[in-house]
Amino acid sequence: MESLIILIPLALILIAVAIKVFFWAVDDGQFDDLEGPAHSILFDEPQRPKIPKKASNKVNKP
Amino acid sequence: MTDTRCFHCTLPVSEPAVFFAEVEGTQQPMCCPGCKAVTEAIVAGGLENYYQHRTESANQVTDLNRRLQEELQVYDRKEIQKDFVRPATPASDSQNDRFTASLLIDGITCAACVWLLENHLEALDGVEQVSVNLSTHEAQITWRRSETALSTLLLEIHRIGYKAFPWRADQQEALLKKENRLFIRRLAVAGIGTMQVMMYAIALYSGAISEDMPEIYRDLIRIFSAIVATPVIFYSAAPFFKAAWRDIKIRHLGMDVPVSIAIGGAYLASLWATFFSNGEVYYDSVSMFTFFLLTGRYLELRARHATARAARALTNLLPPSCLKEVNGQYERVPVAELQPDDKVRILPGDAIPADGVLLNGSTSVNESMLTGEYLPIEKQQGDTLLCSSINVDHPVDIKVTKVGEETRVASIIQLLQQAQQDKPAIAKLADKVAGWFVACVLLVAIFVYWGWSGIAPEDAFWITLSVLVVTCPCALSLATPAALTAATGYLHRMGLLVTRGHVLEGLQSIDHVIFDKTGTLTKGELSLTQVIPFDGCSYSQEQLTHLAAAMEAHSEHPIARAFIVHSDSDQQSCQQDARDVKNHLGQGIEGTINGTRYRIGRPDFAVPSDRLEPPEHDGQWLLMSSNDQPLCWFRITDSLRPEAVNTVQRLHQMGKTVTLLSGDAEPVVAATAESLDIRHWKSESSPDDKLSFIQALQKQGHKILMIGDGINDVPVLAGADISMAMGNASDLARTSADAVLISGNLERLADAFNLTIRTRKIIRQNLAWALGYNLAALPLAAAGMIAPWMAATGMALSSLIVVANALRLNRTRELATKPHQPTTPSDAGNVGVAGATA
Repeated sequence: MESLIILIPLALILIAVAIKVFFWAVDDGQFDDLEGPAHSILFDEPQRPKIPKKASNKVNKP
Repeated sequence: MTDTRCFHCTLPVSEPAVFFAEVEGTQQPMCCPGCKAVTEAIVAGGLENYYQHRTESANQVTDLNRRLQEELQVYDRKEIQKDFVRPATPASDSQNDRFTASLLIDGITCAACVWLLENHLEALDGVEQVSVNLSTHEAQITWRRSETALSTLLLEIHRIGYKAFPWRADQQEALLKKENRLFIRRLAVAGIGTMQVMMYAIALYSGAISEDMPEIYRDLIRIFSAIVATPVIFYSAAPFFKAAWRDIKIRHLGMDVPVSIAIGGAYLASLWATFFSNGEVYYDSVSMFTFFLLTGRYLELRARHATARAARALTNLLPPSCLKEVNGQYERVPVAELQPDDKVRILPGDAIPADGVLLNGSTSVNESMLTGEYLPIEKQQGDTLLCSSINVDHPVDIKVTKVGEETRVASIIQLLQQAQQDKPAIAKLADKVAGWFVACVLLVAIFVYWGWSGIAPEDAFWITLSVLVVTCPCALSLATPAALTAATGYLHRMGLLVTRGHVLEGLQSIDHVIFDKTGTLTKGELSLTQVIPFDGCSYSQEQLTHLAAAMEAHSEHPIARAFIVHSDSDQQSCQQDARDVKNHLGQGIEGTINGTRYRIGRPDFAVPSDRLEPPEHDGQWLLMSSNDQPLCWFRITDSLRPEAVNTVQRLHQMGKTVTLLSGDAEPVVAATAESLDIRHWKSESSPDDKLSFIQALQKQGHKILMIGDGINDVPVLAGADISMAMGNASDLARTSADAVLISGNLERLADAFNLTIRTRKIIRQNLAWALGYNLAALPLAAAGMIAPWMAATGMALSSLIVVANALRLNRTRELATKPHQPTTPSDAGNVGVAGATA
């Protein structure tokens, strides 16, 4: 039980650090779009090389 | 009406489908040339995956035209770009060519749109990086200005079916962003604090239950709980205290008052218990309560921000400009600089910038935005042209007579301001409950304190406190906002943007729905609805239509477009080619096909030798003749939206009275009302008439929903209990309406009514549950039988149940994709392009 006297203040410090980090993330704009990033990983396509736009077509069936 | 729906925007397509686009080897039906072009552009860019990934349908798109391209080129001017384009690299770099543009994209419906936009734009030359924010619809595009013009990027955005506007990140936007970030910080402090306090609370609970915790440890944990809970109260819960203080000052009991009493009271009492080492502490309940409430408020805030942004996007357009004559040359100047007696050139398709007199020639103008009249009106030299009407035929010069405040449009705007002041208020259910609730809780608390101080004075305070904590209206104050927020978000994704808060609560009480005609129930564009051949005419109706289409292909008049839609449906018919086509202004068109001379137009133009009368008086009738022999009558009308019949039918089934209120001529309005089965209608109404019409109804106690699009509808929109504007309505109508039907699909209106019924049901369930829980716990607390851990668990559970119940509103997917109810064939036969060949 005596360990509480050290562990609880230690936890307090950790909370303070966690909140500090969170505030930084908020100011960094990481919470400005809460929907997009969740979906964007699903659409992962290999980056196409930079080519003139008309030439990047897939095969179009007639 | 059929189940065929546009592959791109999923609006119903009238059978037989006229437009098709090939997607992954299948011919998919399309509703209009705009959607067809967009789908083809998406497929051509190799991005057809969009159609697999998307979870929401796209918005219907308008056709790209030359005019749009020219208008977009205005954005290439540096003085216009300086508002929303900034250098991507530090300005000190002299070789600086990389710029970042902030754009607002209109038409984003789901995450696949973001993917489509980013991939389509990044494939362009000179584009380095594109990031689109799904929540705010903002796009940041970094590109090299020397390689690609900004107008090209904007055009590409339009080509795949979105609209782009410059996004001026102004003060209001900065405020929204700041508010959002501050709220997330508050939420984080409350969330992390709650978790920590809850951990200590478990130790305290188990100590209290097993009764073997040494007091020194209990006090130590209590002190640390107090340390963690303090920022939660003073930082995270600050908005509640502020709002409650404001409420008390204006003597109005909102939900914030009982919330603040519970949070503040329990916190202070816990502090007292901590320092004097007696009684109970409620740090866990207080923190958790703050966190839940903040979460609810945050959802509300996000919905509010989304609508605020969307509403602002409606007004974030280029300042309108016009061609003014300066020293014999025409210069593009902002409309605001116009003075009376200025000479202005107006090109076909342009809006007339001020009231003025026609100086030379003649043209026809479309005044539907001002009057509801759907046919263009002919204007001769010396006639007055009204501000905001649209020039149809020829480039003309006008002399400005009235500008700004004096124009006819400005007088309508004044009417709008009056109407807004008289608008009836809709009371909020939650606030009514709150006032009653606060009074009850305070009375009960006083009564409990008085009762216990007689029996056990040393316990009276703690029991009263536990009553306050247990009756803390956490679930109660989450009940309504959670349901409304879920429903608003759902409507937004469905294509109905709610811009004012009272819409959802107000829709329940609406018993009378009033539609405008032109542009609302109808598409606002002309189409061919009937062909009546003369006796002895050797051509079939189809052949006649194709002949007419071949001639009209050479004309840009709106009437011509009614025919051209038909020629697209049947490729072989386009073989015919009209030669020597001549347009006779205000008269008709003539041309030669396979050696025969044809004329289409007014009866006295097509067959000058004989005075022929149209078969019926209403509608616009065109006569076609060959070599002075009459062939057939064409009837041109403004066609109904395909879903209009179904929508009106659904509204009738819900027991709403439907009225058609139009500024158009009586026969046209009567015919439209008849084909839609609308029993009440009123024609030739001026904006004043419309407003007094609904005010008379409101006096009789009716609650009115008005749907319109034109400038002439603006005063009624402002005066109605709830108003909706169509997505392609005039800017003024869109900004003065309470909600905007972005998708242009009228069925969303009926869906919204359905959703309201469900929302009300859920709000009632929530309120019943929250009140029931509080009432059940109250006697237990008053009897002194509720320990802090029971209070905390009960509150958490009831709040979660309320929120989960509200979120069910979000899952009603089937509402948006529900197939049409089949309607009677006669209804469908009267409308749409199919009628012409039937």
